[in-house]
Amino acid sequence: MSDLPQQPFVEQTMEKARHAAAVFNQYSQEQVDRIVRAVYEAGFNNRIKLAKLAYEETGIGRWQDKVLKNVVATQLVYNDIKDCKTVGIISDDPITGIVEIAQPMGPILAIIPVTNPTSTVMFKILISLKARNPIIISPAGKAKGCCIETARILYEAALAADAPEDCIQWCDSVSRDQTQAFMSHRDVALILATGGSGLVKTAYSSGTPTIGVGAGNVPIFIHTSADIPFAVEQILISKTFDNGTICASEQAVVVEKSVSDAVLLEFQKQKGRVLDTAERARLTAIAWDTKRGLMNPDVVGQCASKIAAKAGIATPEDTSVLIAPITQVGDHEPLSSEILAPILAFFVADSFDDAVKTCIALNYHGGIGHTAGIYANDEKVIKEFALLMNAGRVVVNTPSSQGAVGGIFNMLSPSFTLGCGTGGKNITSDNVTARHLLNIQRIARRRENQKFQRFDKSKYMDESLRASQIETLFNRNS
Amino acid sequence: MAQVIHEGKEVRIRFSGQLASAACETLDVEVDEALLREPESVVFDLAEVSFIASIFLRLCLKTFKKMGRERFYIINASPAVTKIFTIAGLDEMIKTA
Repeated sequence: MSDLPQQPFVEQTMEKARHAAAVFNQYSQEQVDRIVRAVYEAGFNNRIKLAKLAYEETGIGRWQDKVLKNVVATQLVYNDIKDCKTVGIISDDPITGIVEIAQPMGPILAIIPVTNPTSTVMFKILISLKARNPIIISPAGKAKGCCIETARILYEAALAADAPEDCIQWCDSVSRDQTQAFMSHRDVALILATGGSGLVKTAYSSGTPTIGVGAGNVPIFIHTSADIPFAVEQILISKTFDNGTICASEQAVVVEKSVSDAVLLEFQKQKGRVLDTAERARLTAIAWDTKRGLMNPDVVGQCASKIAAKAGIATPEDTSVLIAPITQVGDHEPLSSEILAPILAFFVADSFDDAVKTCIALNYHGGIGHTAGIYANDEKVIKEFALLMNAGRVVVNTPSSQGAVGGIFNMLSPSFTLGCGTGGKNITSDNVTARHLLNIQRIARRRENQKFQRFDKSKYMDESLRASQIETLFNRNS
Repeated sequence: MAQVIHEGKEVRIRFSGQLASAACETLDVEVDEALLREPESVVFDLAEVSFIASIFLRLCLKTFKKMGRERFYIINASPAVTKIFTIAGLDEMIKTA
């Protein structure tokens, strides 16, 4: 594929994808399920090899955690979608007379991020094939090799299970022009865009329907009712997972003054390193790219001690996270923004109300619609907090990385595409899965609205009758 | 799978059953042989076809490119098969009565 010049490559790939979509349209649910099973097994059986490949190529995260990501993307995703009806008639309600028919969308362009490369490829392939959609993998340049190898392994497995030829394709070369040519190609039915905000915006601007994801800036509120050692332990399980590369990972911890010392002490007990003012400034300088107004890619997915060393901060090798006490949220305080690394901002609030206000400020500072978390043992507090957040997922007493992805600590659909709602410029706030990749058409049988049929329609022509009067007449038992 | 009928300067090929990948392997050769006689037109009759794989779509495309729009067409495709050609963007090959 790589020998072809870019635009002919796009055209040739799309012609093959169109043919694959046509052939896939004939497949039964049984055939689809057999293919999905084979693809899941191939991904799962190669989970370690592909995790190591991703780590070696990108230098981001920990290969052991990438194995777990690959497990979520295969075993948990498969278990979640395997019994889902995605072909033909999927529901038939004789009362309403509505019959729902699942139709595939067509070729899907999958944009893959550098932070979760192999797992996102596995996930997007599984949900696309389950919905009978061919898929084209467009990997991040720095993760091209591991993405292509993943796609190749899964494609071989799909073919062995009699999947249509070219139901999985990939881009050998990666360039902005080529990606944009794919995005705006008339035959791409949908873009599944996971990546930086610029890339997601480009996808939305292409004119092709897009399910994108917004950035996260996850606030975690530890309420006074929480079990503090447990909360800290769970936060660390999440924040250190793959060195903080999941966009749903905790970015800031917010506590009330009455428990702040206890929380900080617990973080220190669990190998967290609390920074002083000078250290915080040095960390900011290396973790934030002031010119671009973004996290510095050099710290993404690196371990805490390595980041500390870069910043000239003395820490033990086994430091879990770097904790930066700060007081402000906004562009003037970079550590209040999303940084995909084991760095946690720490806020102390005077009261419950102030703590929640800080969480709202964090949530709206680059993380609208994504994820928020709370540790509390007070149901009223949990609901009050959740109602005030703008987050597709509010995870409770749960590590937010694993909690938001779903399937491990809760019953959310396991997903590597976390919708952030319109606040995050997304069309959904769901954990995206196979059912989002279907067009549902409805047979609507005649079921007359008897009240409307019997109602004297001339009343609608009488301007003197107001809504409440019409309602009275309409609902009159006669 | 395929029955080749020469009717004057026209070649009509009647396909039947499921045109899946394995079953299609010999069809390419049969079509090539039929085209060696340099017919004026080629017709694929799909009346008995119930499933089409990518390999058959490619065969149609190849024959279409070789013969040209006016000299190659498909007849008797069922609605389900017609839909496959439509999704594939190859519906211009299908001749309706």
